[in-house]
Amino acid sequence: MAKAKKARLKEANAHLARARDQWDSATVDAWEPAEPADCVTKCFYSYENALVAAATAIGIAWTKKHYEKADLAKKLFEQNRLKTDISDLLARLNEPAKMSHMVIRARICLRLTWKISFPISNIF
Amino acid sequence: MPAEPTYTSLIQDFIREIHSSNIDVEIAVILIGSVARSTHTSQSDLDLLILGDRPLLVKRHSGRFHVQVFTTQQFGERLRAGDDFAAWCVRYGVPIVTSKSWRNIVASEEAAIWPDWHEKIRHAARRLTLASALLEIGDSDAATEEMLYAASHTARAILLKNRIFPLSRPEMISQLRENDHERLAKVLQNLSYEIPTAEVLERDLRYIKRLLVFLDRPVYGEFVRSRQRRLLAKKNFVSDSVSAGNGRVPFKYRRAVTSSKIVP
Repeated sequence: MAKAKKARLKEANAHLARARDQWDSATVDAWEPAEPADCVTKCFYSYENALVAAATAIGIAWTKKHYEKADLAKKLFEQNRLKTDISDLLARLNEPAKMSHMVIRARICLRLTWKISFPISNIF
Repeated sequence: MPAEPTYTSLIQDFIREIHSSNIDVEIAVILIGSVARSTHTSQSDLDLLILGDRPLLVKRHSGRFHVQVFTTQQFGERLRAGDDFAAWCVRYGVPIVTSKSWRNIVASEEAAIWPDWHEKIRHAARRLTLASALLEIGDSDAATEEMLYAASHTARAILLKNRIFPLSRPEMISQLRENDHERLAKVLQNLSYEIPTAEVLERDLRYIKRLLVFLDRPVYGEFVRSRQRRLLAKKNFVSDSVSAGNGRVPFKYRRAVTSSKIVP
């Protein structure tokens, strides 16, 4: 059992490391001259990886579907496992991440993301 | 245990909600994507296009709904600009709630405009660059998703160039096969239904890059050069900041900028 926990934490750390790298890369994209669409997509994946890291560490199963991850974020917040409810943010970021042409919406999302929570550690 | 709601009941609830929050606005609700083509799988999202004669208030849905909201004017502009998404909607969208504006759009000359396939090269190149960056970070799931977008945009570019209108993603695989693009069809199929390894993703990435260069070298080249110029501007800003010793850029972001590169 202890070993399973160790393996879980190792996997969670790998997801967290990816989340940090994606966030750093998104930060570079956010600087002028900005790449808003890429930035929003990386923010989106970063939040998802951070969420998956939390779920894995706790031992909760997760799926690859984006809308199920948003539901999971809400569930973890309601269970007081996460300090911030990022379910709406995930749904909001998913739209411009999916559509290539949504640069204007990407810019709006970018401002929102930066404003809502800058460090990923906020959700742990 | 309650039964899972059907697509029909989900859509009906959604339409009721839109009407109640947008009183006196003429609205059209169009079913688009694989569900409209009856080629959806259990993984497919439910895609809807909502058009209003004025800006609409549409609540966000966290479920499997993917909603695109436009005013009639915005949608018409996209159609005139040769956007393939708008062209797809007028050709294959299934109206659930129709409006006079929607009927006018479908009957208009703009509805027959053939989409600009060069634009698909730019979209594919962007997704490919993103997939490459994600692969380098070690996020295969995200890289697979971006590769799927890149392969789909490339497939659309090829089909549009050959005057074949791309249908839904599952149908595009057959369309490519029928037009002797077996390898791209296979790549698209694997990315859609399999879990590729990092090695397979890297191989597919190189293949799609070659395909994009072959299709339109000037557009692809300009995209990469533009990205390189932008990154260079950031790197120069960081190095100027460091040499001036003014500490405007935190160390971790300095590192992130200097280690960034544009691949492919």
